[in-house]
Amino acid sequence: MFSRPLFMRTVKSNYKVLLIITAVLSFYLIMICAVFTPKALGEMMNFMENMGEMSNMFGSMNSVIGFIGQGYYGMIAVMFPMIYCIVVGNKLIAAQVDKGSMAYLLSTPTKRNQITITNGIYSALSIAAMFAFITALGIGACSIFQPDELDIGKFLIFNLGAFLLMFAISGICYLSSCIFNQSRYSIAFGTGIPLAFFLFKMLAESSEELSFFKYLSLNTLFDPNGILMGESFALKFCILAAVGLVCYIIGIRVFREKDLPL
Amino acid sequence: MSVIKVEHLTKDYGMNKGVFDVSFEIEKGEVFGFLGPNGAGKTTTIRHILGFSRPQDGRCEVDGMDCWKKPDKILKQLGYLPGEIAFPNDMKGIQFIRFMARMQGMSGLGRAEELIKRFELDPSGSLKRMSKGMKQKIGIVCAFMHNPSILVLDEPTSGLDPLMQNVFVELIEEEKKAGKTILMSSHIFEEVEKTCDRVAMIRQGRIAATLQMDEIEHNKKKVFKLEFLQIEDYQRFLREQLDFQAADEGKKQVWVRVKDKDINAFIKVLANYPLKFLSEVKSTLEDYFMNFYGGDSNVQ
Repeated sequence: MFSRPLFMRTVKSNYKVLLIITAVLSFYLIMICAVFTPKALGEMMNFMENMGEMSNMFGSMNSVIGFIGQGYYGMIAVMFPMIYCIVVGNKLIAAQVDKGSMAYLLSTPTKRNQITITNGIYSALSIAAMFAFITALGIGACSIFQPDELDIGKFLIFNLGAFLLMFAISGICYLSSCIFNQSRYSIAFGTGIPLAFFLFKMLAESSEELSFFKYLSLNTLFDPNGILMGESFALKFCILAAVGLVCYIIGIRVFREKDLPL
Repeated sequence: MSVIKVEHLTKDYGMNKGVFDVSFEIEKGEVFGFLGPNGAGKTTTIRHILGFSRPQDGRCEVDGMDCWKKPDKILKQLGYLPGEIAFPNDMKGIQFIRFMARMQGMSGLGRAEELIKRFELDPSGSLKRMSKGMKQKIGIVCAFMHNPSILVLDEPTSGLDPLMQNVFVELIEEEKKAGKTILMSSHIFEEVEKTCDRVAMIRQGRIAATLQMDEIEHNKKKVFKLEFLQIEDYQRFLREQLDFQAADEGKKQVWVRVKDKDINAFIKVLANYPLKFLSEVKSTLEDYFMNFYGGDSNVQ
């Protein structure tokens, strides 16, 4: 069910995107760890308090983990990996069908399942590797810049959550890649749905009246703020994992059964 | 036992596109030509043999295995050359050949090196920068390198120069001697004529005819083309009791059909005429093909 040469090939043609996105994520994380020391944050808070009610919005930012949770896992650590999922998701299946190079894979004694499962494993593993690296980097960077300030337990939960959200998003991109034979449709759905989720979450957070949007978005299932305040997250994380898994499994089945225009 | 079997294959893409009730069988060791203009359904049929498409009706079998259900088993012993070559852009030719060898489950490169030499291919460059002909050669290497017993070749010589087309024909002849079963599609008559034992013609998704090549070669009637030196001779000749096919007064040329048993009488008649030349007009697949197309010469 797994093809080693194909996996190596998939790694080779996608590692550059993976490196670039991981580099961007690393850069922001180091910035946050290096610049937003408790002292700097304290000064910022004083400034914010003078601004009146706005300080509520930054309520949870008075610790390193708070700032990382809000600024990093609330935005950057979701946005950039999402781009990765979209780009790679399309490349894994649909782009190869659209271009026709899939014909070469399928002209060898390789089952369709072998191709989809191998590339699906790459997709999930590469995202896991990305967050594993970010976890290690975050812990390392904080121990250098602000020893003993980081709540490592929460930091691990953030990374797990962000990974599971991305696993679900990548599942959507992958499913769309398996369904459509043309890149443009695969990209349209593989970008449209995750982007809508991303925007719905932002809308839901922007005002009380729009808060119902949170029910329309997968992204609300990973809520760094809630985790900081001690809300339970286990069920939400399970839903994310399940959504991802189901998308991958459906994608594999759809691709096995469909006509290929090769 | 037939190696490749297509039974009542139907796939309707709408707008009269697709294949309709296509049936043929290819025996072991046979070279089978699949001839038709662009868009006639050659590639659609091949797509089903490779297991890329599910038949709407009918079925395809290779070695008794269903092409839709067991393509991976079939492909262990089948070499495929796609009609439209689409390689990954980010690889060099030789990297791609090595990758395909690994995907085939080969330990080394098999016949690849021999084939590369034969086709005078330099696979060290990037696939992206290769010409159509070079890509075609890479495709040929990939189809033949694991020495499969069945070959499915979709327009194999497209993009090759005449010299390389000859190299390819030699390769096919060798494979034929080695007992391989070959299905070859083409829209070029000569290509199929040189190599195939049997030919199916497909038109608008339907098989128009299946012909044994010897039937064409051993036709009991032959057509001769004659050109006369003098216009008077030309006019006098047309009054002979012969089976005239065509005549061109301007060129002083006449096409005559002669039965093999009448050939000596024909030569005696000719002895009375000063000729510029005499040649046999070979009855080609094209002639047969034209019949099906009602003389529409726009088939290439």
